[in-house]
Amino acid sequence: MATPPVEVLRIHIPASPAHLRDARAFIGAVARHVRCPDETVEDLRLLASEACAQAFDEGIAPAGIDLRAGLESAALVVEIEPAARFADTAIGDPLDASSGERRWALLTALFPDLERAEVDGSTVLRVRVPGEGPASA
Amino acid sequence: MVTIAGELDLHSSPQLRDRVLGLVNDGVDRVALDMSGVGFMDSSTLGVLVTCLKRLRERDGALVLVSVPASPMKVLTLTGLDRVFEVVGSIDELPTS
Repeated sequence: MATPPVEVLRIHIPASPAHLRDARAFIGAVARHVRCPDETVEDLRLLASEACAQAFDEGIAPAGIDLRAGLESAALVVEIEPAARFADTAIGDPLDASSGERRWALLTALFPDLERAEVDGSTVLRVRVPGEGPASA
Repeated sequence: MVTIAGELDLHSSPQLRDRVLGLVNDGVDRVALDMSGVGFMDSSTLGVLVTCLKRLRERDGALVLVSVPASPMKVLTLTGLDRVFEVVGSIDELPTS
């Protein structure tokens, strides 16, 4: 499940919300490069931002976060590690939801096949989306 | 009317909270946020907006979101907050009272 995709690009962001923009920029650039639709690019940017923000909020990434992206069988695979465990509960009253509940609701709505895998004691968040591959020169 | 632009996330949204709550503390009870220039918004910002809305409601006030682009609107919708916030398409549609 958590087998690294081939031809992987990586970025490591320090444990600071100031670098959420860098995480989004990286994932967005890779997704555009493999010609994901614009809406998918935006969804992946949101995934990167929410996953990293939750990890910062939960204090589980003092050494920073790795984001990996690569093509695997015509799909773009994105992995984020370490990932938070999130509040795995449905939102009741939207006004009273916790930030973790909102984030998890968003991510599972955007990516129903989102995977959380435990690898060597670390939680990895993983998603696959269709990718056409790099545009021709 | 408060105009906000750029990318709103865990890092930047506290500035929005401070701006709106500063207005509330100054006695403003109806706040409209022009969001037409927001290119990205995450759920941390939703928390800020909810905080501001609750504070305004304590004073019988209101928070209106104006010209919300598609991507931030999707975030509001998927978390059910599109049913909580008053959202209008343009400044012309702002309530007069």
